[in-house]
Amino acid sequence: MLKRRILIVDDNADMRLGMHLRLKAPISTIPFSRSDAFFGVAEARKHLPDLILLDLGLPGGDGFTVMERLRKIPFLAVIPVIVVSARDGLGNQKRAFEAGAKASLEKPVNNDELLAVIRQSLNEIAGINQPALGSQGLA
Amino acid sequence: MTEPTRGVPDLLADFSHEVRNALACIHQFGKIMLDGLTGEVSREQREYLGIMLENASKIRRALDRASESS
Repeated sequence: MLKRRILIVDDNADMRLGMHLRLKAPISTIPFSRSDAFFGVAEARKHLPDLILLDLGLPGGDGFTVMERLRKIPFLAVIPVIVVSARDGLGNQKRAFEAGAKASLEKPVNNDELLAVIRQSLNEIAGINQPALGSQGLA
Repeated sequence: MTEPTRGVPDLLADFSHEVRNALACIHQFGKIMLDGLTGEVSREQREYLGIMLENASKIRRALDRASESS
């Protein structure tokens, strides 16, 4: 099974654990012991993940701040970002797309939908710098 | 220096965010168990987990309605 590294940036430890449990079988994830806007960018720089799952409500700046910082660093700007947030309102979704997010999902997120969006985002960049990810790669 | 007083809309937005996060965790771990990621689930356990998730969804829908009407 093809493994991908997903960086989960969320200040809620329970949510990070749940996401990790959800994704560890089909995808290799980088779990966080803590997370805020600063560490979100620092960990992305350190691990160069294939994709980032990003919460919007973070200490030390919000998810938009993280995306803004990522976009300023060329080798991080190419990493697809999927926003997964409990913030309600279409305004945040619009802002997320404008900030460069590939998708914006509202918590509680449907697991099938999450995996589908992850698969799609990874396949979109497969032609650029990674081998194609078929359905066998992500269960 | 005293911090400016936060208005009711801000407090409600924070409350909504906190409740949604908690509900998301309940939903996520309920689904993890229901999907058998933590071991086999009996028919009775499946039924109870289903009740738990349905009630979490009810709270979520109530929050959505409150957000839409505010």
